[in-house]
Amino acid sequence: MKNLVQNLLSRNTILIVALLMSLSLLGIIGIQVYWIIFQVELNEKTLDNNVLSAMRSVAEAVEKKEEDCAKQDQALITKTYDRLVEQTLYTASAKRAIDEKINLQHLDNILRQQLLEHNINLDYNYGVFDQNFDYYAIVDNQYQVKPNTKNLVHTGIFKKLDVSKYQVKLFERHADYGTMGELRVYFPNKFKLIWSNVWKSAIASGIFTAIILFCFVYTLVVIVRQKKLSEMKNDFINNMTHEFKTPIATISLATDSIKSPTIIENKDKINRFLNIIKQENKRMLSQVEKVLQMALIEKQDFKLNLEKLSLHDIILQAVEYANLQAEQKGGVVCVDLGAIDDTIEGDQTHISNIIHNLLDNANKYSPEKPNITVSTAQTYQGVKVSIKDEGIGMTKEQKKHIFEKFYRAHTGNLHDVKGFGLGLSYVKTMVLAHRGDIQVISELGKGSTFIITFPHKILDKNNV
Amino acid sequence: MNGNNQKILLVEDDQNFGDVLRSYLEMHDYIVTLATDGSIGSDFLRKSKYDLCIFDVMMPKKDGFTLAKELREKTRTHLLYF
Repeated sequence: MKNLVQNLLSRNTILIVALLMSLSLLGIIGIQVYWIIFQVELNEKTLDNNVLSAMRSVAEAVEKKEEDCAKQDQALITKTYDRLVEQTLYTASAKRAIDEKINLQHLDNILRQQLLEHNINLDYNYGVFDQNFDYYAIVDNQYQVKPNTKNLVHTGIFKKLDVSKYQVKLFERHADYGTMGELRVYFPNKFKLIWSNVWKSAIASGIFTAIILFCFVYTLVVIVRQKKLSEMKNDFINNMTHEFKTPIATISLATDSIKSPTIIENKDKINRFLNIIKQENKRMLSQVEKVLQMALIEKQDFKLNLEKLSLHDIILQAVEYANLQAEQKGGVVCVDLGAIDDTIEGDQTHISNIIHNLLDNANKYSPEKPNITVSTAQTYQGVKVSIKDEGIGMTKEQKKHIFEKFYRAHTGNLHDVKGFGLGLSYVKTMVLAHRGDIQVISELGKGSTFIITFPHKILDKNNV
Repeated sequence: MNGNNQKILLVEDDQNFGDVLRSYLEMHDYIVTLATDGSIGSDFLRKSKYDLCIFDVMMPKKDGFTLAKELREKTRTHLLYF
């Protein structure tokens, strides 16, 4: 089971899953875009077919109307004149300019009717282009004045009609007489119709894809964080096992040694071993307490016994102990207690632990002679405590994570500095529980300064 | 158990455990050299030969696995993990 979880959380598996999900997402987005484009193109094609079909019907109707009128005239004439006169009259009719062959009202009505019959309910502009005189003879139910010159540059509606793809020839059978024309239609809101049944599904796909994308990124972030936490916890368990096994093995070996006949006679040696057993016992107790304390904090199951405390007294007691440790490495802890009013409201055990932990860290992370300075200063509403060392300092990356539970700057089997990765997490939780604040200034190779601020009085006592 | 003055290199960073183990082994006639971190242990390995080497795993400067690797590169010795 453990192996299965490890395999599932392995870096490669996560990368492959992320890659597959990214590819699937890209595929889904691609298919959505393809379908939308396909639908739009299909709509446009259908519209094109319908419009052209309607326009062809219009052209036929217009031509038929003109033919009928011409035939009526010829019928009257053929009673009186011979075939030659009839032909002459037809030619004269065909040679008429295009605006003379089209009934304005008839064109307007038939165009509107045909478009509606082909389910096209859109605003439109239309024009009849006279190819003989190269101008628009009719535009939107109005005759136009014939210009004096040809090849005029068209603007506005004329230009739009020029480039419109809806163009149908009129009076093609009069091509020999040069009186052909072209019916042209332009739809200003064409895209509205094309997108009318697509935009809703396009927006819906966009929203759903965005939700999937968000969930995907969120899941990835959570997986990566969980993986990191899992690694830190593994490291913590290995570390804790090692730290617990050492005193157990020491005690076991010391008792075995005492039982040995060569030692049992030697009181000095027995005392030495007994001292070691006592020390190791204390060490185990403090380790157990640290882990239990963290378990309580994790459950948020702690209650502060608030009382008025003298912060300077607590600092001086902690410094006394820290000085003993620093002196063993040839270092010193200096004190500069400048705060005028050092009273704070807090839980003595936790405040003392906070100062002890920070001093212990300052000592642990000063491999050469520890040179530690503890100072206090008055702030507007409380007391500021600075604990400064000249040790190894931290990188920016380490500084970002030091207050995270189980985080240790030194991981794996190389243990330059011993610890569980719980101390600073505990310090931060407790400082915040006392409505205080903690900050760290650090530079790699030059040392670190932890600055904590405690208020004189805790005003908001909820959840304390 | 009798060591017959065989030489042991003990690399252990925990002072108490190192002291107690050394006393225990010396009690049984072994000659014990104690190194308090991986780097010192590595120096000892380079300078002398030992009949048995005992390494802690988690140590400052050099961990036990790295030391074991260095030892295997030098000699065809057997490794036991416990």
